[in-house]
Amino acid sequence: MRNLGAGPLWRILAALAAVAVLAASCGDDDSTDDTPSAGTEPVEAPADATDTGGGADTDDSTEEPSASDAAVSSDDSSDSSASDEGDSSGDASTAEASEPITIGAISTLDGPFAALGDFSMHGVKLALLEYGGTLDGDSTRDTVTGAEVAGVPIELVIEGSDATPDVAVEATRRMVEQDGANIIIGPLSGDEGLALKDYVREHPDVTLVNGTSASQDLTLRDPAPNVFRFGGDGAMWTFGVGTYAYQELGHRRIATVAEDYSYPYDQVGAVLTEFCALGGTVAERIWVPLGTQDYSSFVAQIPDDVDAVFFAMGGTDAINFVKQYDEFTGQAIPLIAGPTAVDQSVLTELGSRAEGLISSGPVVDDSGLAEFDAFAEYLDDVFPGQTPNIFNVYYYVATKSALQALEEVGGDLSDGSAAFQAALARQSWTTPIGPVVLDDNRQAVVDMYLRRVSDGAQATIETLPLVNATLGFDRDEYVAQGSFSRDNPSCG
Amino acid sequence: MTARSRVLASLAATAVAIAVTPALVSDFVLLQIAIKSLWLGIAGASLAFLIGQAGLISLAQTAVFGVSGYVMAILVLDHGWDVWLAVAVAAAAGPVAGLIVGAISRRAAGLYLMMLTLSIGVFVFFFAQQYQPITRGHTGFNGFDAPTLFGIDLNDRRPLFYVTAVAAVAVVAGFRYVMATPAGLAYRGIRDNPKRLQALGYSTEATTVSAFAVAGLAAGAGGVISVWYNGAISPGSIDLTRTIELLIVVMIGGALRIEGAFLGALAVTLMQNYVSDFTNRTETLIGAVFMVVVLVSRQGLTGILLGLGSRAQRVLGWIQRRNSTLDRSVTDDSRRSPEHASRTGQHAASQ
Repeated sequence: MRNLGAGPLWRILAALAAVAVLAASCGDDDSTDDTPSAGTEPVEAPADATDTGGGADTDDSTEEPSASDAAVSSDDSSDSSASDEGDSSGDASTAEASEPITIGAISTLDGPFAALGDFSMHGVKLALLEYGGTLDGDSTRDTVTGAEVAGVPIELVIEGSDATPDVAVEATRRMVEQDGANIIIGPLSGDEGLALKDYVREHPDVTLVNGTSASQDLTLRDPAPNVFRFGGDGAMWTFGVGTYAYQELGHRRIATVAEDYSYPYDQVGAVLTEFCALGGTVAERIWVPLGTQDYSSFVAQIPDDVDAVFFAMGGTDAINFVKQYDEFTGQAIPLIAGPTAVDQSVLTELGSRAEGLISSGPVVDDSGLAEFDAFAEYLDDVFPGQTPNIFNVYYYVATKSALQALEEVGGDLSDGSAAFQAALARQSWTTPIGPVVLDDNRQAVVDMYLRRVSDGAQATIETLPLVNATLGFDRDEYVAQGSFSRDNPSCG
Repeated sequence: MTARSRVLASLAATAVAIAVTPALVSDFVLLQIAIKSLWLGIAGASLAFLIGQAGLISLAQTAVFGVSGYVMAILVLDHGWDVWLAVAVAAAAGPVAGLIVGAISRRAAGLYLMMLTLSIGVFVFFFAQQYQPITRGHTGFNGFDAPTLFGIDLNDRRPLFYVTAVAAVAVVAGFRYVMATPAGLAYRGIRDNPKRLQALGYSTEATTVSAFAVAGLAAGAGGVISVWYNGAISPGSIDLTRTIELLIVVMIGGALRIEGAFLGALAVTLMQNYVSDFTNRTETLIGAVFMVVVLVSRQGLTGILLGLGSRAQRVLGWIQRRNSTLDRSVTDDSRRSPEHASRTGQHAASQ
């Protein structure tokens, strides 16, 4: 104690100063970079475009967003133009309601999926830029200011989790109770979604619009009235693969290798549900812990006599697995991929090995949809070098759906957001990845694509129109078979 | 001030602080700052006890914490037990888990102890992640409702705060009691000079094991309350990140005093909640603060506060001495006024 007490005060001060300098330099990294301001400029134009409602007199970069605006189903766009025109007449109501609406966006900004968190936030920001916002800066946590819907200012707060449910709930609670967020966009991963469903159930006036959490039970079983998902779940993303493997590729007996948690259970479950219904069998279901580095013991378990191996993994796990699979088996048995194993966000890292891999999923690069091409160009304009992937597209669709619903109700969140939630449930529009409409559980019915990796991009084999949460099976039977797990479905 | 009256005074001050906190802060702060730092502090206290008293740097306290939390969640959600019965079993599971950790690592010290306890921590994490029939795997347990106590629902924030605060006070009091017993002296013996302790006839192994068991009780209590707070427990609640977080809590707070863990927990919780408002690099900043605190003071924030306290006392004393000299020099010149007399009288009394 004596030594410590004798330590001169200036040491503490110097240390504090060092921290201050460090923090300041961190901040500088984000703000002094010139690209953000360059990036923000083309963005202000689309804001004008939406303000004027038509976007007739705009340059190239602004045409894209207005094109996707126009893609909004006809009654939506008439609604929005009505509310735009009504600005002057409805001054009283907007002046009264001009208290800003706060949108909270949550994704995995720390931990193993941090890179995916960046993609998600691109999607959120793009949607807000269309409503007159400007980017505050280039870094992920920099928000968008100045966005307005029906005369009501929209504020964006951004929070990150590390993909664990505990942290996701704390971050969301911070946004709702501290920052006053009325609408939450996110989260990214499955178990986070289930935890947030529990949280928003206790806060019925808060609306959760899911990002990419693909857990089936976010909406399929015991749905919460204020949880909306404008995309597919893990099973829907894998729809069609089992049938294609059996009918087109002629496989009869497969093995599966997947990460050992709920999201891959859904993928394997969906593949086997179809594959086994047609008469196929599964030789072995191999489950690997998340974050496994050494796959040798798992690859060794794959029987020699199977026709194909379905693998459902994400990020580095997929890359490590494929590499070691090739080394051990010499690619003797063809691989079929899960949706995120070959998502556009990891395709470049898989390199040429990804070529020809079959999968199913929500995003393809050659859909030919005008909305998709517009989105891709818009994304590249604002965030140079970025291409569409499941994360930026889904977060964009979620945010835009929420903003459209807000516009319909004139930014009115009174009565526990009742009108807004009703409007959100009615949203039906053509997203960059096809039309979307919600079912009674507020779960999207959306197009999926059977796809093949070709030249580093996802090429369409077949469009699977309007896939629903029960994959076309009878709802009661499908729900009654229970959540997919290590050994459900049984498959013979 | 006698020791007894000092204890009573600090207890009274703590009681008042606990009583008024809910009235002073928002519901959000009460839950996510106050309750969170209290249960994190309880878990931290168990580690502070091990490190500060027995010199055992354990990385398995998160595992012990997780065992209790999981035991409660499993008994209630999978086996339909009464919550309080499950709480009792979970509370007992803490010291048992501590006993096992201690038994495994009873002969290790220093770096080897850290490696051994780290592997136990990682083992428990993977067990929770992989052994689905018992632990439900990666998803873990969701939707755990905190129990009711005498008809009061602990899902409400104020009652949960009071219960957690009382538990925290009990943990501090319990550790202080242990530290004052001969056993406490033996723990400091393993820290300072195990050979000497052996020469005195103590078994260092038995002492080590019992230190882990005592610490396990607090870690288990923290685990139970954390499940009430989160309403859930999953492998993510006890992974390596949380293990390091607990270590940082203790290091920032200072291990020499049990109370330091709560200071550290409060500091870490505040940073986690508010740093993201002005920088993107929460973890970097927590790391930087950690380094600065450790560099400046080996006893963490507690050390800095105590150092400031003693420095302030010294400065005050110096000012008082100077003043009284001044007074004296003044009184030498002019005859003392009644005002001067009373002031110098005060100095004399306070000195």
